[in-house]
Amino acid sequence: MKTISQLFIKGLIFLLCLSAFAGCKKFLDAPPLNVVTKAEALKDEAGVAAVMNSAYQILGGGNVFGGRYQVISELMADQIQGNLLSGDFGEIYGRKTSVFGDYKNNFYTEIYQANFRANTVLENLEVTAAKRDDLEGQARFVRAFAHFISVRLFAQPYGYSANNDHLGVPLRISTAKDAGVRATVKQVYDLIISDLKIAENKMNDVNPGYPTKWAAKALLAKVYFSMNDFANAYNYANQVISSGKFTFETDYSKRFSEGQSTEAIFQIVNTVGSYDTGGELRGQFRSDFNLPTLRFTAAVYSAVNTPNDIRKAWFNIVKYPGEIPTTKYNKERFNVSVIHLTDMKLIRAESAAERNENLNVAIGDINDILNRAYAGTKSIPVGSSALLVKTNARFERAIEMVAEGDRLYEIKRIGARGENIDKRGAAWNCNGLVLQFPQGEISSNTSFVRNPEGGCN
Amino acid sequence: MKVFYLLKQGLLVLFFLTVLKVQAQTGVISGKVLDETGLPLPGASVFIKGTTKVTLTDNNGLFRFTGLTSEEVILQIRSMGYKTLERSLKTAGNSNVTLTLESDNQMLDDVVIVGYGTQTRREVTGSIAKVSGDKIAALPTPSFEASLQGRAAGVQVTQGSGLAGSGSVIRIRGVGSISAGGDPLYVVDGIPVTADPFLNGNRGGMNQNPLATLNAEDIESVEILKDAGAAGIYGSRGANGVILVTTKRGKLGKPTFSLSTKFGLSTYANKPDFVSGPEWLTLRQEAWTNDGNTGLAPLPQGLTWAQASQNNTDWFDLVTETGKLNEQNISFSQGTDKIRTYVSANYSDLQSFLKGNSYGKYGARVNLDVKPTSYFSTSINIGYSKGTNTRVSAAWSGGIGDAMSTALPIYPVYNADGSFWTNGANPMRTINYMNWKSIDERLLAGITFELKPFKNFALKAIANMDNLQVTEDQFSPRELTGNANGFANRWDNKILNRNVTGTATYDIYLGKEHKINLIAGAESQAYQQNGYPNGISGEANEPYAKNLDAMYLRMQQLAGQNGLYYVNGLNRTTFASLFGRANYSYANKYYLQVLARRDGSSKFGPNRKYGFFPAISGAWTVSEENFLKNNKVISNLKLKASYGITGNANIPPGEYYAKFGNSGSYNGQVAVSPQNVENPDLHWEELKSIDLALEFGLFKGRISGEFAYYRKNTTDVLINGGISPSTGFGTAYQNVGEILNEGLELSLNTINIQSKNFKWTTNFNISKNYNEVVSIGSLSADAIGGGTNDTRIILGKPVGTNYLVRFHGVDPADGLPIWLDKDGYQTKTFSLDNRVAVGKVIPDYVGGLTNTFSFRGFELTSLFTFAIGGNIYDGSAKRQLGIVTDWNIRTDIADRWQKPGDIAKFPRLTMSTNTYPGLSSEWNYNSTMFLYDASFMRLRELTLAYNLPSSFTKKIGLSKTRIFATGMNLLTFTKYPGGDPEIARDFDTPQDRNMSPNVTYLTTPQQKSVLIGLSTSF
Repeated sequence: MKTISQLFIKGLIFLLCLSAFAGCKKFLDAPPLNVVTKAEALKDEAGVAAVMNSAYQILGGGNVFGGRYQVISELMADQIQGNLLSGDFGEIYGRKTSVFGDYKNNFYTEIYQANFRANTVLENLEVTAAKRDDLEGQARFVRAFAHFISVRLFAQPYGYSANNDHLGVPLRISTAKDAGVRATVKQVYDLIISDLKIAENKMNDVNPGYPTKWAAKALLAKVYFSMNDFANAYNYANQVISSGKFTFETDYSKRFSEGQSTEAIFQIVNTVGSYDTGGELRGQFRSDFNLPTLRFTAAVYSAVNTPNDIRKAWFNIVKYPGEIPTTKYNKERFNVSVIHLTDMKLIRAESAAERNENLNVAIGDINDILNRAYAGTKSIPVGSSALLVKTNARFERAIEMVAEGDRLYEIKRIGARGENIDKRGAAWNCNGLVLQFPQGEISSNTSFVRNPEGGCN
Repeated sequence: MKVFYLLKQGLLVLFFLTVLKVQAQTGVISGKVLDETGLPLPGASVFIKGTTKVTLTDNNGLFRFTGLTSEEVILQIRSMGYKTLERSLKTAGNSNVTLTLESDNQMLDDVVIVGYGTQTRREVTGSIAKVSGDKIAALPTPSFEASLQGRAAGVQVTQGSGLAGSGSVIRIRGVGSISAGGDPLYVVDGIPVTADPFLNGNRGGMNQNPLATLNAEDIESVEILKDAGAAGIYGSRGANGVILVTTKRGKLGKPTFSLSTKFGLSTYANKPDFVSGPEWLTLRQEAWTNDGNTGLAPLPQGLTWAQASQNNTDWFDLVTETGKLNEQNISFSQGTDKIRTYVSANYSDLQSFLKGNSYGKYGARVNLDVKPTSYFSTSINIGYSKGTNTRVSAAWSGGIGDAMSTALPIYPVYNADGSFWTNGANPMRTINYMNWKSIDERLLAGITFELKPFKNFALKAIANMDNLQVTEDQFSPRELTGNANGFANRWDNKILNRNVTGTATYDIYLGKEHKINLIAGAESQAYQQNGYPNGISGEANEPYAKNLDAMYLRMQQLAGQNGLYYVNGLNRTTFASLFGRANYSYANKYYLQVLARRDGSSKFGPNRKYGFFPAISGAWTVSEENFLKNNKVISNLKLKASYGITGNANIPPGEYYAKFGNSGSYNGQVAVSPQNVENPDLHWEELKSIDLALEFGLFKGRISGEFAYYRKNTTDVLINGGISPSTGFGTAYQNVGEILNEGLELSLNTINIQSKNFKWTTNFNISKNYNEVVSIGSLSADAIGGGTNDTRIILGKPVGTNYLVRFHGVDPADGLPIWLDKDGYQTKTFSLDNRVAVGKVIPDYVGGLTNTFSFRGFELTSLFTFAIGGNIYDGSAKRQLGIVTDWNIRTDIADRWQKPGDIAKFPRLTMSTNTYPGLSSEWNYNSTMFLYDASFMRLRELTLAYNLPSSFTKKIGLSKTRIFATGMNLLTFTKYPGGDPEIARDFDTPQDRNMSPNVTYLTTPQQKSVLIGLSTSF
């Protein structure tokens, strides 16, 4: 009896195992179906394009051009009335960021996530076909842009040291996940320029909703301008403007609007219902519904508060007495114009003035802007001096680009030329004008070099 | 739908069997069962061993069997609280017998549910705590598991908050995990159920609790498996302990209906005190003047002083109200030796003390046991429930969180024209407009077939399913969005969880003294979610739930833009196991148990797919030895020991390879994005645990209890962190680190007074846990943490260490804070580099004290729960008592520096972080200034009940009838000034949940409730 029962048990256990483990290996080979493996995701051109697409989701999301980039840049500059700001905003405005602060730290990680996606595309181009060049160009454009954003916020500007061998940001040109090590600013700029120079030759001429070779050239103009390399800045801005692909908007409200602004050289496209950009811009600046967190200084308003300046419409000083919020983002939705023709004209004009060449072109650019701003009542004469052109270019830039996150980089760029223009009275190269790296860089690599801390005033 | 098929099959078999008639036979046994005092004992089960015959004694203690064939039978009589009695009898014609049961204060014959089987308390070699269902149902907690607080040694229960439907953080013998979930495995009637608190993320500042749908009144008992000897049978999921929930089943006897009805009221147990509008303005002005300014201080949100002075809004008061509870239960129970049935239905509506917040649920359960023959039986369990959580924002998301933070007393609720004021935080506006519901529908069903082909051998086949449909609808009308249209969100998630188990058990009796029980089994489980991972959202003018057409239209539109994304098999995980257990006992004295489980999981890569988890345990009942057998003092003495290995793999699936997933679209084109950092060598974290225990009973069980020691070592701890953010990722899973938990537990049950009319019993338990991070590999203090929590993992310190700058005091000369640097020297410059380990979130001791007094029909029960040691870090206080910004200020600020010479607790007021050198942001103002002693004691339960005399109830046709009034959290004793000392805030991740209970951030207080109720049966 005993042996029979033992046999029975053995048999039963065997059967149970068999039933539960029949094709056990197969049963346990059950990955989650909401995701696929890297090999599967990147098996063909469509897959690589879809990953490229996801890089724009990041760039256009609230954490980068959807708002955080502009907000952080504006807070650090000198146009926001920020004395009552607290928390992360207070810290960034106070120009004394620390290793903590999610607003800034998440921004940093997201920029590099866009970069990671671009690198993923670059490492998998072999499966692509017709779109190969364009995808390579786009990925290099995104990688360059990510490093450009990062190096300008997390390091002292180009020109801070004679050889630009001061520390920049980690250079990430592959998807390897090793510890972060800071490259020099020169190394970072070298990468940016080399990527963009390849991109300008590989990207499409026209590509609705996506950056083109013209976006790469416009970004090159901005990069060279930030280096105070006026010859190259002029050259690239001039190529973009002369291409005739972009036309000057006569109506200010169109720069941030739905649909393609004729001025937009690189923009993040809002697709109603499925991709929303600009949320953080609206969240922090929009003023038609309630008083926004970010408002501007009286000095900013006084610059437009002249009888004929129609840009007064960019501010609403009536609804909230004593406060100066902007109306630039008072819309439910809009495309975010990241690089636009106005910027190119200002770069071309100022670069020409700095080089004292092509002044007629520069005067034309300035007058285009003045004519639009003052409804035809203001212009500078033909034959104006380089100095007058430069003065006007800088003055108009400060107004035209208000709330677009441009001013901070002017303070730094012009500072590196030896002029201190910060209206809050700080030195352009003070410690606090550089954001501190996230704690994650330091805790994952104890020899990571932090930025020196300490405020600016 | 395999299970439905099985279910159908089962019902067919059932139908077939009921048609069979049992042959008539002749022998008769009748008898009477008495208790020690000679009174008849109703409701005792009388079995005839070796047959399926069983009956219950009636109100006069009488029972009767007919139709017996064998000449000699063994009667077994069992009754809760009495020692089991066996008596052999001859069925010569008509036998009549009187049997007296001996009371058993220690309930050594009490049946304890262990994984895949049962044991008597006498046989248990592992560490198992049992809590009976009546204790679970006694309290009006938001979810049944919260009622475990204070009931079992070594089980720390921190209730989430007073939010309707909120869950609890339960830690069994400390926490041994960091990034993997540290919650125990919940098994309901053999189904490892979905208990993930992150199914809805942390939306609205609350982790939705899927366990809240379970009906406490349906619970027969909860067994908590604590050590490897007990939980080891759950192998790779046993490391955090296992909570076995057993629902009620049909009881032998006449059909009985039971009703229970409860009504209650609730409010918050504790609240922080905030200054009024005028006081706030005064403080603001003081800060402004301190900063060297003149004139009136500027006010937030462009408010003028004239406007501000008109308001004195008590936001906390506005967003709260008296909560209401209405709970109704009805059940039916019937049992014969062939069929037993339990059917129940329940309805409850719990409106919390937060305006607009409620959890309504209804459900039904059918538990059926059919035993047509002695060799075959089947059980079917079906439980359906639907819980509707009407949500409000909380904590950082608004609502009561706003009332404690940025909704200032100087802000108005309404504009002059009666519309809601919108220029600053206005939680009333959100509560008024937001429409937000999360509905959990759950079907728990299982079927078991048991075949006993020959004596002492049984085969079981079990199929179970746990279907959970979570539908969340959130709608903000245009009054909230400020756009032309409102905005609707729908999150739709169906969680399917299936498991199939087969077991074989064989009991071997060798002679009279040797007994061997063997069980071997195989189990597989498949889990997946089906739904729209990105949700469905868009402009709308009413909630999708109210206008499904609008939702379908929206889905079409999304699909057209490549933005609609549906997945069958989200987070799919499969699991296959083999397990076995052998129990050997000798002469009721020596017990040995060996068990092992081999688990395979789809969560891990080919290198690490399988894990092996053995455990060994033993017990020696010393009191059965001759030298103690008739000892007058020691009635029970048992030594237990166990050693074993268990595991934990509670992380998302697919982390071993690089995952790419749909992330919506850009420019109308599909986007696919990388989602993680792959780690092909990822594997289980492994827990090696030792348990030593002493069970004792003195004076015939008047005093009984258990004293236990454990030591648990977790190795290869799963940690999600420590990666350079310039890779583009914030975290990555890896197996590093080692954690030690070591502790002592004592539970003590005493019968202090026992007389004819009066009885006083006490149950006390206390446990001490020591937790230490023994290794974190090469990671540094800040590498693990982040998210919203303010604690860290530091070598040599417990999990969840408060890592803060030390605050020394306020300089009486200038009112500025004095800090201590890393080396303990005073400094006036704040620096994050001076953070040191100064506190811990884990208490040293937790426990509970229950006293029950019964006098005739009256019963008074009190339960005090307590925690001693550990710290609370008040993450909101740094804003409520720090730099004067646009936050509410607590009244504690009264003790502040105002003029030179003042000795004060808080520094001089200021509106600028620059005043305190080195401080960059209000958020970084973390220091021991806001670290508090977490010790507390609360009167968790106070119940006064009256059992109507049976003489009276009989007259009106009822049997056991009870009227009761219960108070929950009526009293709280704490030194913490910031509100409620029992804190489990909203969490972002399991890591946060492991590291940051007792860190509060605008956490909703616990509820304080009173309820009255009636239960009866007929």
